[in-house]
Amino acid sequence: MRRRRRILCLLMGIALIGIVLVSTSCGQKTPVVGKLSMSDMEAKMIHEQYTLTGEQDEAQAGVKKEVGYDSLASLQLALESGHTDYASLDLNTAQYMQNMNPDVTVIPDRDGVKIAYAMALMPENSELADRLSTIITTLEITGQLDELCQTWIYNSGALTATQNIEMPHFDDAPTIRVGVTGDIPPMDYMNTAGEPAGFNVAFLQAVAQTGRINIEIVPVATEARITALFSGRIDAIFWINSANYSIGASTDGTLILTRSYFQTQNAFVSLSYPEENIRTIERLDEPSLISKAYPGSQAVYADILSYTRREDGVLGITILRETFARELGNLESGDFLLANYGGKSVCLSMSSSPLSQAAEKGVLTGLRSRIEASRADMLVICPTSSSAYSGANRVNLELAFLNDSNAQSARDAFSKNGVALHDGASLFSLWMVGASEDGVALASAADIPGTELRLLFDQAIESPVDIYALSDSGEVSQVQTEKIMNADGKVEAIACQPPQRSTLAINW
Amino acid sequence: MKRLGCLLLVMLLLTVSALPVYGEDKPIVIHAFIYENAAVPYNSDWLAVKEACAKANVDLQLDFANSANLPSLSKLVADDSPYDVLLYQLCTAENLLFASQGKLLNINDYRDYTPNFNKAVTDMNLEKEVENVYLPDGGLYYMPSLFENPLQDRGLIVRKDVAEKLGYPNISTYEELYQLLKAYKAENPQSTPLKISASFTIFMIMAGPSFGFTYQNYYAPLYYDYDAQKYVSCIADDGYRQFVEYFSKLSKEGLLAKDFQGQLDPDMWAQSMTSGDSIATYAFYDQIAGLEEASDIEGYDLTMYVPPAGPDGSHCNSNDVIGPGIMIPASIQKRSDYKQVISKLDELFFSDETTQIWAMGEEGKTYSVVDGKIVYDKKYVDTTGSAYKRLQLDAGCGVAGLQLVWKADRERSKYGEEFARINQQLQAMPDCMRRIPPNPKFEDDQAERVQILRSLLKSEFLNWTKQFLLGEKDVQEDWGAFENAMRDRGIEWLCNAYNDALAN
Repeated sequence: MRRRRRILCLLMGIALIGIVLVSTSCGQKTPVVGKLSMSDMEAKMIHEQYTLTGEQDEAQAGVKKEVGYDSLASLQLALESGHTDYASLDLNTAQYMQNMNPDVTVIPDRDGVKIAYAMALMPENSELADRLSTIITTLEITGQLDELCQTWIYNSGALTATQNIEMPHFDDAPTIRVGVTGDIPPMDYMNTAGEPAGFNVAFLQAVAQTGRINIEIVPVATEARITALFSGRIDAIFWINSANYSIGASTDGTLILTRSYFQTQNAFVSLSYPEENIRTIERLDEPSLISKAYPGSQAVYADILSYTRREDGVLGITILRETFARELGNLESGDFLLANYGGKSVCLSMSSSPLSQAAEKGVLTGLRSRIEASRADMLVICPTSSSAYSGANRVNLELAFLNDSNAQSARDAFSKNGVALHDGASLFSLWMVGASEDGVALASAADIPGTELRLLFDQAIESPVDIYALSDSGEVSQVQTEKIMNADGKVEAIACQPPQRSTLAINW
Repeated sequence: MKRLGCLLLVMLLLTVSALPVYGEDKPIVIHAFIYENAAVPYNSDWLAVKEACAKANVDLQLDFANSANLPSLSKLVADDSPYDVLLYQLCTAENLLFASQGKLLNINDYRDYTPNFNKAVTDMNLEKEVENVYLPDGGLYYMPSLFENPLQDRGLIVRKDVAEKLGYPNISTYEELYQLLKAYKAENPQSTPLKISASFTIFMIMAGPSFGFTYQNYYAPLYYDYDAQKYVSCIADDGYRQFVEYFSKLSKEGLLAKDFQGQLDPDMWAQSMTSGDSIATYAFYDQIAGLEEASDIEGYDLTMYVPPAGPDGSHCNSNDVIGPGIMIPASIQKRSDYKQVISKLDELFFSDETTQIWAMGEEGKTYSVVDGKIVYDKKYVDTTGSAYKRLQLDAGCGVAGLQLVWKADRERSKYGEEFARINQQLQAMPDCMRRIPPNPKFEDDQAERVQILRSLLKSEFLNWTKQFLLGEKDVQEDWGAFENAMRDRGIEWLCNAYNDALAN
């Protein structure tokens, strides 16, 4: 009896603390954002995150508190109880929640924050990780992966269908155990009976069939899946967000990641929090793919870049290296090659000369029709030969825009802030190219006035990046820069006041 | 009224005089381009070029580029292209893009101007094969070269003098070849009896069929099962495995030189062959004479055999009956006389008279007919009795890119008796020479997937094959890993895609 009373007191105490926390939460200026913890190795404590914003109209602008939750169910509870103002999830899971509960508001995060799901294995299983990556590539190339996504992720009705997916069995093949959580529906989904069903099973079946591998699906809790992997209970985790990591590496080197099998973007889910308070970053007209191509003997390696415009006008560009298998044949300087990436065609150029030289050589005749044929809205031409300012670590890109509005949007962004990109230790220089009525014309440097250049950093990377100016005589010199630090003391941007703006602009 | 009549007459005369006139004395100028073949350097003084142009009354202005300075095709077909015609072209891969962009002339729109080409296609019974190179829009964007009853001009070549001495006068099976190489190695421990100068893929094309394995760039690493008339994957059929098992055994026992994969310096190969270090090779028949002339060994005698029998019998693949041909940039339409140019191109490359010149030269100059038999001038005939190579190098006859109609009797006449005997023997062997398997057509989306996947698979396949043949991988121990590598990269999907396309 005494013990029951003690428990009762304890519960009342917890309830009181909860009320205090909720009331504090209601009155606070700093929004609380709930998100799914990626693993039990991750700190779940409340922490503040600084985001780069331009309009500092509120003292707290750019500051938010993030709370990690162990499962989707607990995050949903926190959202419903008001413990969190809005949740940060992947777009497809957010839409799934909205299908389940029409009161939910989904705000896509248009800043291009990318989520790329991949499987994770222990480093000693790198050979198996390589095999899985190869199989995923095959499923991608053959269109099977796209079909699976269409059926099981984009068509939410499929989850309600009682489809029985049989996993194949091969007598002479090894078995791998893959841990699924059911916490990322519809991608990682479990039905009401607690059984994995949907994309997770369909995808793993396709992997098993293609590679002639036996796969055993093991349900695990999200927060326990890393432990399950480390303890040997499972051989692979079905999902981990690999967006910021390259294949074969994790944040701390403790895991090996496969090639990503599903990519989506971030979104915010809210029940009652004002939508306008959820800060998102606006994209340019449409997400675009541009590329830099490296011709290889058996394939084309291309850096796929997507460009976004932020609220404060800064142009941000993300880079992802992909491989396009393609017989190059007699592809020569000035020839163009179409490749398929993520359902979009991109136009790769092997031009070994800057656009202006190429134009002089007549290579660009009909460029407009080529861009149109590629269904891309931007084309990047990248010299593959070295020059004074395109050395081993730096690559010059030239942009050709299909229409004036795209070119103007980008030019506006450039003129306001200037931009440079970085890819690890590489610095990309940009030339602006405007569209003319009969094709493409180079924009003159005078079209890009401005007072400051800003170099954007991906927050996860701290590699040293410098800005260089090119003198009229062709000499390259380093420009004095000022580092902009974020709240965590990490470099977030570099600003500079170039002495010879007009000269620099030519090469940016 | 009379005045009006006079005026009209004068205007008519003026109009007629303004039209270009191509009388017998005024050859039509045609600007052409060809990527030069390093093995047969182009010579504008070649007899074949002069005689064929004279016969067709064409002034052929031929530009050519070597491998160090190749202009891109995009420039050659650009609106301001200086060329009326591009020689030695196929309408595949990147060229498809130019066709879809309207940069190339659709020959089918001008078939009234190509009577000689049309007749050659019909005479050689190649209508179906030519239709196979139509693009999905029904367009024919190049006039291909045409081949009739192909000859076996490549294959296993062995020192006959050595083989006879060691007790193997005729190599009719791969087991006999193995025994011969082994016997020679036993007598000459420092030797590498089999040395191959052909590229790695050409070697597979030559040697694979007797093992039931056929290699072609457009379907590897699948291959065609002639009995079942469908494609099979290299891991689902024994043919490929038997092929690599056999040659990796030769490699392990030191009977096959390990530097054969197309990287071997031709001079090193020739030195090895002529010095007696090697006694067998896979090569082209017309390479025999050069080796025989260069060797100081008394009695040195090379011969080409019909394909030895392997696990799948005795087989070889014929050359393709459709080859690279002439492509016409759409910009030619800027010429007011472009239809006449098309007509002249047809005459220059496809008429009976000119094709005879491109193949054999001119009667009385390169050959004569004695008792109904063609006899080539002595200066063109080599030690094997063949005139093929010297006609090619010295007179421009039999040059790929210029000769577009290849008839069996004419080609056979250029080789010696030995070659004729081998080919007669081969013709008598049922089902020995097999035609190149059908090339399935894919829908656009599927075509891109197939091409990407096949490219990845082919690269992996060639890498594995190289390692098997060089002994870096063991066929028995590593076959499972090879199967996984092929399967993970989607070989089963690819095979199904090919067979589905064939069925449709």
